[in-house]
Amino acid sequence: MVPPFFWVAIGFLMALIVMVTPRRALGALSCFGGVFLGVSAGVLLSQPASTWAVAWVPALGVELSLAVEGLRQVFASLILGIGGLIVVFATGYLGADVRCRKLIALLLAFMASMVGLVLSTDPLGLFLFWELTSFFSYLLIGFEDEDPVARRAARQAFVITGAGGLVLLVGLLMGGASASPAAAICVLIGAMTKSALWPFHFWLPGAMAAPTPISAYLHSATMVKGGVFLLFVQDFSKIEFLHPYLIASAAVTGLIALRMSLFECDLKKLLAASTLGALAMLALLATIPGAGPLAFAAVLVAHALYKGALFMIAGGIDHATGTRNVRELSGLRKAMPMTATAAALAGVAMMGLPPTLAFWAKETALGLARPAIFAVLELIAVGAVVVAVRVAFFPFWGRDCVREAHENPPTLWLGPAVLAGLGLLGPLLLMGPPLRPFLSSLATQSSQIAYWHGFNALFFVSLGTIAVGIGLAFWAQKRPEARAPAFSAADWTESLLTRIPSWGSQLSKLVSGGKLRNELGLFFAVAAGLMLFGLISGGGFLLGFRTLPPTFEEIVIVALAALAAGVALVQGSRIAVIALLGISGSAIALIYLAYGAPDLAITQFLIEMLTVILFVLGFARLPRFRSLSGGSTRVRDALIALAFGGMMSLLLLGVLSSETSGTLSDYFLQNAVPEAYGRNVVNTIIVDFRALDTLGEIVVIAMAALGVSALLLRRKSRSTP
Amino acid sequence: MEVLLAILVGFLYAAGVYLMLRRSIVKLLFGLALLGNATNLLIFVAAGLQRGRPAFVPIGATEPKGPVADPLAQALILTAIVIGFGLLAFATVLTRRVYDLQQDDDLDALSGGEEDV
Repeated sequence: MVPPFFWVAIGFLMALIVMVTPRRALGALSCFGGVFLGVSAGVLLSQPASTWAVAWVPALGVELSLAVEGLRQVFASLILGIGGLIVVFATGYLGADVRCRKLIALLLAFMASMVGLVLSTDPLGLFLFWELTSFFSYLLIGFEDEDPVARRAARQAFVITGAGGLVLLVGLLMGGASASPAAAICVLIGAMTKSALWPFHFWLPGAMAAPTPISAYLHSATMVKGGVFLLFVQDFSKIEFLHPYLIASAAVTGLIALRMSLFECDLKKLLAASTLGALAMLALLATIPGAGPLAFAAVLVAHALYKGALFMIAGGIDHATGTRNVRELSGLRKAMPMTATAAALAGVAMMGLPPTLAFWAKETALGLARPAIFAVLELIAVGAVVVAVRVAFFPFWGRDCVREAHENPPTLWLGPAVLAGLGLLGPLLLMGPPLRPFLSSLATQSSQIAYWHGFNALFFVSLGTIAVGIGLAFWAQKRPEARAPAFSAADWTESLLTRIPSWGSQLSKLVSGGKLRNELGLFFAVAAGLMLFGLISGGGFLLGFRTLPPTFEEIVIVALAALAAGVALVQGSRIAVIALLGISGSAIALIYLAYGAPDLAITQFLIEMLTVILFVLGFARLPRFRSLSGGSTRVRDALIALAFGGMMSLLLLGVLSSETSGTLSDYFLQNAVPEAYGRNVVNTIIVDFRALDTLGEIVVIAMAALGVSALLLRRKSRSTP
Repeated sequence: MEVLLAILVGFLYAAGVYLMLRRSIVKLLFGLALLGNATNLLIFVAAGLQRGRPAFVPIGATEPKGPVADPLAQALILTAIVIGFGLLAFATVLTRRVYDLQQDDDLDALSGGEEDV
């Protein structure tokens, strides 16, 4: 038995190997890698159910756990198998392109993330891999990074799925879909963004800007199914209050898909349309109680087989003829017989004709559906038939093609042929001995493995669907050019995205106007407001502290400090303001001296002197201050200043009125002599207890001195040429 | 005395903030200096006042006798004064440099900023 983490690890490992492979060996290596992945897919399918877990954040009970069982196993095997074929196809598709290695490495890394996503059983692991797939999808859609259309599509897909991922995280952290209605809605939104269900459908057609191997793999066969897969594993069939919304969303998505399949002419856009339909179908299937993993897996696998094949065929046609416009293509079967055969097989499957796996899957799904869901499923089926006829048959049949065409090398038709063949042989595999016991374990009572349901009403409804679809396809092919839709959700989202930065700059202009003082004013006003709020909500305080009665000298000193600072506000002469500031600072030094802080007083005097000298050197010879602000601005600023100052006064009184602890100060007082051998306690703190702090302070001062001297010397060298 | 000093602290803050909201970059700097003084005084008063009793240990004793001024707050303020001076010195030279280049200390008239027109 292979431990489950192996299936995640091989993708990342192979991506690393590809990164260091020389270009010449890349072709051979990717063919080998493709075969290896194909074999791995088979081995994975034959594994017994098993789990694997490793503690991640044990304190929070978070672990990374993987499980190989049931639907997870089928899906992971599908991802590996198609991944192998895609790697081979991509090698042929890009050929000599220098970016081939990057593409294959990214595809492999994506594959590993996707396997991780479907095997993860814990919410955080699921989220991690979910985001990884979004991330690699972004890189892959934007693979043509010089093309603005591709960049735009990549960004849009990433914004939509990334935002959905965050909503999903909220839902998962709330305990998953079954925990509460709010959590279920979050999970649903996450799933709908990933699986491109209306109203989040619009990023998927844009994602077709990626090279075809990527569209085939990420945007039809695997990643987009992550969302509906999540709906299934989170048991949405039990969350009934969301079913109407899900059915409505699927119906609208189906209508959009049908419209696109009639009006689009690009092969890939047509296929994208039917992918939307298939995703809606899977979403509906997840809501049917008792549908069970078997029916879900059958639809999922059948769609991946024919859609992956058709995407690769579309890429092959593009490669051979240089166009993907379905109206310019016809009669290619003579030039490209192998591709035409694979296309026919896949097309038959997509139309849902027997004996393909898709037929069985579709009939099973329809048999389980209630009337409302049944109608939507039929709508989706008509769209699928239209696309099947237009993509798989029209380019190959009819009159001879006007374009030069040649058959592609085997790397380009082998993949589709294998997938289409599997789709055809699927039922045989289902009946056969190796898979039957495993599949039986997936089946529920209402979805037993019964290949042929007989000529019942369902069968004739299906025949009608196919006839309608074929008719519509012929009509769509002859129809005159379509006009562009009046409203495009993709364009609307794009303009929203480009507007967000300008909104941001408008907001910042509104707040600050690009001016420091506006920001400062706002800051001080908000700070004052917050302090006031704190004071009021805290119930205020009582002035309850022992006050020392001031002496006459002290009153004079305090008045001097205030007066000097006050006059400085209105003085126009710079030297006068500098002197007044010096007086104010010196008065403060006197207060320090009076209240038992001689060290502070000395320092404050010294620094005040130095500041005055510095200011005089810097500013004294500048012209007088001009009156720059208007009266109303001055009043506004004065109000802000007084409010802030007043709050600071109240803050200080509040601190004095509250209990404070002197433990730390007592420690220093008691230990100054025994430990630091100093009698000036302040000094022992500075140079002994907190010596390292003082060292840091000295470094800061030295840095400032260096900066000052650098600026001053620069000035000198300028003035003397 | 505490109430008196609290009012002084508030007034110094108000004066500093008012200066910082002026258009002159030099006044901004002066406001910053006032704000520094106000903050130091705020911490000093908040630690509790002890008139004329510095945190000295008399000779022959291992700890001060009776209540003395809080040495921890003083040590913190001492650091703050010096660091504040470093900041002011650097800002002064920088401002002077701006003035030399622009021949103006009106923040709105300075060019080369983000909102440059």
